[in-house]
Amino acid sequence: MLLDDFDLALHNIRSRKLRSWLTVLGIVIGVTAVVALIAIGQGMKRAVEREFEAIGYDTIIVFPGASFAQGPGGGPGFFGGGLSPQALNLDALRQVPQVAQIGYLRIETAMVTSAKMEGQGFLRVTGLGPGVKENFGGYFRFFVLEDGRTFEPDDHFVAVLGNRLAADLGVSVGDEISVDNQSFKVIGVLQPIEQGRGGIGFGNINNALFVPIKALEALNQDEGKVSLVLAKAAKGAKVADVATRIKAVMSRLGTPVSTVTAEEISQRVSGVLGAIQMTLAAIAAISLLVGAVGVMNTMYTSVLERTREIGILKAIGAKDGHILSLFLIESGLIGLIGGAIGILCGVALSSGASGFITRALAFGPLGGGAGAEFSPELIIGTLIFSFVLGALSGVLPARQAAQLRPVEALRYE
Amino acid sequence: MIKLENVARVYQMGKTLVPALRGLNLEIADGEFVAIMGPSGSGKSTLMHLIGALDVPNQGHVLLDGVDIAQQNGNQLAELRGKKVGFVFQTFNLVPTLSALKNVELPMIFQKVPRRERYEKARRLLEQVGLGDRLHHKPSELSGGECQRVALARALANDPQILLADEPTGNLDAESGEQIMQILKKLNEEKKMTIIVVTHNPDVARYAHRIIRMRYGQIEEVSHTAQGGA
Ligand SMILES: Nc1ncnc2c1ncn2[C@@H]1O[C@H](COP(=O)(O)OP(=O)(O)O)[C@@H](O)[C@H]1O
Ligand SMILES: [Mg+2]
Repeated sequence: MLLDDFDLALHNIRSRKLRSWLTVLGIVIGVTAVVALIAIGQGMKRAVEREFEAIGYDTIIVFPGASFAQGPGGGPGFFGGGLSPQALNLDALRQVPQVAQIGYLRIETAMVTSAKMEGQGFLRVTGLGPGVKENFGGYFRFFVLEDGRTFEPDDHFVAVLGNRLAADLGVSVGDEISVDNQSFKVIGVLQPIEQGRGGIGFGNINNALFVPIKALEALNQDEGKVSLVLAKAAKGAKVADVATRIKAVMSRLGTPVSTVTAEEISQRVSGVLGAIQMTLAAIAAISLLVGAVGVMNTMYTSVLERTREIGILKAIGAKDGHILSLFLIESGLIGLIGGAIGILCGVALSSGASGFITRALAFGPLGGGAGAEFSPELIIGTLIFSFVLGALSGVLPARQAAQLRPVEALRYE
Repeated sequence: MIKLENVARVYQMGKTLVPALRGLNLEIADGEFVAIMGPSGSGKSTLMHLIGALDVPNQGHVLLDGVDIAQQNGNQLAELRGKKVGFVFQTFNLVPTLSALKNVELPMIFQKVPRRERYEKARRLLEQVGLGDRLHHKPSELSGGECQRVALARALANDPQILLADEPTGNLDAESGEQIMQILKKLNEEKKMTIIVVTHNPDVARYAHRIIRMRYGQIEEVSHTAQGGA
């Protein structure tokens, strides 16, 4: 019986093309918004989670200076990476209880040229502290050699280049480049990485220039300055507590630092996403409400138009329940069709929008690629939801139809 | 057996009351062929609706095989209409969006007849009324006579005991009307179906055993014909 109702309801929808489609459109808009919203939100959450799974939840990022949001020189700070080096007592940091390991980077801007390149360029040069790449493999997961080798302890004036930088400079392994008039030997070139991926602190790795930190110290004729320290919390330690202790110790030494933990960033990102999602969710809810009112309106019109038909159906043996379910299923189907189309539109919209939002939220250096996520739960849930929404919008009109008196319905012109 | 005892039906039109039937008594035996005649507004359709359990009286009793329809709830009345009664209307009243076949299947859908069975039966009925080659036509693609034959097939879908035809030939040309009446005559003779036809046409009324004339919501005159001689 239910199957027959679906059959008849579908007949009715098909035979009233334009109005049904306009009504469907009302639902489509709302569902599109909801689906895009949830998919983007889930995608971003996953991207952030992935990033910290890779870096490791036990890793604390330490910046010299009291606030990481603003770079010391008023530069763009954390996400932008204007990390001017400062002297820190690294031994003190190493000895903070429950710090298992530390590694550090020094980031400078230097004039880089090569024999093949005409003119010169100011580039960011990242000096790697001893063992940092080996001990914090997750942080350096995009540091993958295409050619040559990586640093060894005795290396001094050698460099590993990002793929595009090597191409721009026209150099390969074995060639020489000049950094602030000091000659460096190219020992390795990295694999190209999809646009937007890199790591906190060194931006787009395709343009990166890595040298041993010793070389930067020699060039600048000073020692012990760092731009960023990575600290690994001991097994079982509470990461947030370790971070607090690091800040306390360094502050006492007169060199205040700020810290970032995976948890903090997750919370910050969720906070921002949450606020955006709340706003959009309100808009989506309103558009769904408008869609539902549209369905109700269409169904009332339909009941009016088909009053005589309802009379006929009752005359040939339809019970009130038959009429009720016929109209409920019809409005449910309108909802379902709207939902299905809305899902397709939502997928398209969120795929397009997530790139834009990723950039707007400056996720780029975080590893990028915060693509929208479409879980089966989201799709099935949305289909069920839109059918129920449609059916609910049809309850009042359907009741009105079911309660029509047959003789009066038959006389209706 | 159909029995009406002192039946009154009053319609309310805004504040005025319109009496459609005023204290009507009538008995129709199983297997009878009855024609109802009378001027417009005399209550013929109202009477048909009461006999077909589409409506209930304000006063008096309508008994179908001894069951008082006023004592039945909405679902029971729907059941009665679906199983015992077949309606044919002047304006055909087919569902315009459905094919001839689907229209004939409808009453069987409401009685939960299995898909296969009802498809076969609908096809057979349409063949019997001479529309075996029009199964998938929509009402808009059929002539008036063909539409009325679809409506007739639909009325027969659940093998009713009573067939109620309210001016079935009113919108048809003479030949199509004749076809319809021949089918009704056959149903009455072969299946012993009780047939009640409202008509203004004396040629149509001649098919009946008995002609009931109505006026002002009452029976004015009853006459017997020469046993449906046409
Ligand atoms: N649903 C209704 N509401 C109000 N008045 C009605 C209704 N049905 C019939 N009537 C009135 O009742 C009277 C009898 O109508 P009806 O039974 O249709 O007559 P007939 O079929 O003989 O032309 C008419 O005056 C008609 O206007
Ligand atoms: Mg009438």
